[in-house]
Amino acid sequence: MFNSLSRQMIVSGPIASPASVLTTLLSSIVAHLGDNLVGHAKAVAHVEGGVFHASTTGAESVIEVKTVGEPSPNGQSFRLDFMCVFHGLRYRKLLQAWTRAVDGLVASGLQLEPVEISAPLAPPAPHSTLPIVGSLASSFLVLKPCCLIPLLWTVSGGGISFLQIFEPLEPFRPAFMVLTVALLAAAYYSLYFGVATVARESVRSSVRQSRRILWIATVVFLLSSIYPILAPQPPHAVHHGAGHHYH
Amino acid sequence: MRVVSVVGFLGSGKTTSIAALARHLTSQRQRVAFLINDVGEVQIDGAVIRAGGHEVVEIYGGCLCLMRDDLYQGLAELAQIPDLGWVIIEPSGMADAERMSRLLERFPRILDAASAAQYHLQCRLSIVDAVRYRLLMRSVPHLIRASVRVADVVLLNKVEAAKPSEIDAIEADIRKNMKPSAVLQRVSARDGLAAPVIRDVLGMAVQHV
Repeated sequence: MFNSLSRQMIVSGPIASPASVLTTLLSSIVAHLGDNLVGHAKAVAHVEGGVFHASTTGAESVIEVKTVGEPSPNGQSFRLDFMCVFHGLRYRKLLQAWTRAVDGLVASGLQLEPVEISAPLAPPAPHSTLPIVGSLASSFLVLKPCCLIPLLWTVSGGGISFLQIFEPLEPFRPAFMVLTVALLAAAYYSLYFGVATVARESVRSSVRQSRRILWIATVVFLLSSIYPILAPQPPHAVHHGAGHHYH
Repeated sequence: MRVVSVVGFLGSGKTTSIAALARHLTSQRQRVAFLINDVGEVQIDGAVIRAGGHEVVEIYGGCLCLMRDDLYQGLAELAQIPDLGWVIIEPSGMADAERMSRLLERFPRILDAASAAQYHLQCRLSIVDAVRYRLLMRSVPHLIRASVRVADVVLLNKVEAAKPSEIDAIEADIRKNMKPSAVLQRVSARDGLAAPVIRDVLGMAVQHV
């Protein structure tokens, strides 16, 4: 799993050179993240006349700095763009590394003012809501009325007789099972394979929440499927042909 | 327009390589534009290429190989630029090269006949980092192998920093996955790309680099 972190800041104060600020920032970040990093971190300083660009993969602590255009090495302030992507590191770890690096720059006398990042052109939010909700709903339909109703009857003291309206659906139980499996498969594909391996930060939390609900839907489906096997016989059931009636 | 797709893992030297290609094309009075993609919410490479005076379409916030509509829209936008000879596409460093290649092959299907005739997928270029090759093959082997499998040209980059004894072994390993028709070149992209490399990628004679 990859995780990314992006930031934009306005840097001001006693700037020796934008290139040295970028180098200090990236050095601090990769030092905090550790060895054998799989990914990279890069930063750009936008100054009059061009940009300073610094990047590192963390390998042998090498920070490559280059210039594009004719950037002025002096100035009171500049905009700093930062982005890193690493495989196998938690987002929290990236955030810690960034915070420490910024603290280091502030301790050296610089001021860093965050810039709000505008939304990207194309949010890669997964289209998983429909399959998740659908699989959760059909999981309940997989429940055998013959087993569900006596259980709820016992628990509620007989106040759920309206649930008998689901009885006519019982012959369709295998179809509901197939439908649920298909919906769950679609939801898993959407949330684990069908979306970018790296979600935007603003999308990440919703993906995590959707995945949690998906696992709950899976558990509900599994319980619904095996419940008829494990459930005790209803206490007051009287068999009349294929259906069940409860007194 | 002729399209060059440049894939390679994060930090392998894609941006440095395409900057070298752009320098060459510009020196040949060829008009070139870029379609740059990053997964982060801040576009870094696009800013660098733009600062070099080139036209850039940026797609960010996700991996291009999973953003078909944005890719096609971006290509369609670039196709509107008059006299545009070349488009260089740089997807994010974690792109699935095979999926990317399929998307680019299918793009002409959505074009009218006249536009489709103008579109030519010139080269699928793969950049492989010689210094981190072993590490990456342990961590993300599927991405590295896929990028090599689809490539028309593979550049084994950063050879100046890799151990000489390792380079032959890495090259042999890469060749196992390459198409028979593909070409492999050893490069140090930060020092520029040599004439034979540019000829392999762009398919054009090179007088001076």
